[in-house]
Amino acid sequence: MRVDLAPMRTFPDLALPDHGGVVRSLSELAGGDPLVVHFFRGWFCPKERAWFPELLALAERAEVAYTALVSVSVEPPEVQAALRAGMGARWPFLSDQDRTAQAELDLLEHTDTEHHPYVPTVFVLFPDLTVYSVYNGYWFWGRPSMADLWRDLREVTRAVRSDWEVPSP
Amino acid sequence: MNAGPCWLALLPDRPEGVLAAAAVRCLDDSSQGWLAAWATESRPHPYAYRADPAVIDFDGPAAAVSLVLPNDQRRPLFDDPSVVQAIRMVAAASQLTAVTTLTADPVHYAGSLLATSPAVVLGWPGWWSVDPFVRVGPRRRLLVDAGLLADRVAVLGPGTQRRAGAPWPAQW
Repeated sequence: MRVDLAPMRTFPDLALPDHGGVVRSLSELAGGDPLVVHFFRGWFCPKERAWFPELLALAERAEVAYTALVSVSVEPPEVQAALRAGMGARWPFLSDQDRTAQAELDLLEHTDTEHHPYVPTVFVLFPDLTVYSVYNGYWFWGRPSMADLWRDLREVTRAVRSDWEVPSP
Repeated sequence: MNAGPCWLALLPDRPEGVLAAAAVRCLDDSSQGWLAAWATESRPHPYAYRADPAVIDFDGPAAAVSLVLPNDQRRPLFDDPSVVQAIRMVAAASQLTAVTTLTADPVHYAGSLLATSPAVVLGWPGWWSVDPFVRVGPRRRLLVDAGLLADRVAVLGPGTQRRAGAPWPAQW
């Protein structure tokens, strides 16, 4: 992974086709909110299938918390659309089928010579794409738990919402 | 069109002073009037509803539209579980080119508009059943001429909440 993909550095504003084929940038997806960016291997990986329920649970909270979420893999949009529909996910997926972003970020998992997938990695970003935290999920326990993400999103939200403290009457 | 308040109304005649308008037909080709859009701070017409500006595109193609408009005496709260669940289902749906809920005040759901390409409906008549808002109010199945609606749906999900009373999924 690129060494500059670290806390308090700016994450690249990637632009990739979503699960419906519409090109979206990360800044568009963030839309002024904190953003969780999730790079995953693909539908075939049992570890991903074991972790997606965490993300589904997070999405249940994010839907009322003004927080954006995006999952990125090298699968084609139609494969992502099927995975998304099968899981009942309600957040955007981005397709890096050409592996351009994977190369730019240096997130190729060299040990999988069959699928050439992303190294499972999660970034928690401020709305302006500044990195708050990074999780390397090559080993399953490296992935963030709901508690990890909740804590990170609390701190990011506290930093960006001027009315975090209840406004005075 | 990406900023500022936006209003939509389905009217029998093309009104004056609109930002854009397109003729509307039923599936049997009978005229249903005009779908008109305004970009004004205040409500421009008694039958106009606030909409997400992202649904408007003067260069947009013709669209098949599922338009739900509950009776104004039977509008549920926007946070009613029936409305929230319908929003969740729309966020999970595919084959949509424009999506907006409609509001007439800060607290109630006044309607919704879901659009897709007419070619999608032609090849998949079941598309009409995609609209979960039909459980909330009566729905009209319409064909809208080119020049009004976008063919690039806004980002949907995971958020279901509105921002400062603006119609979902409008961003800040």
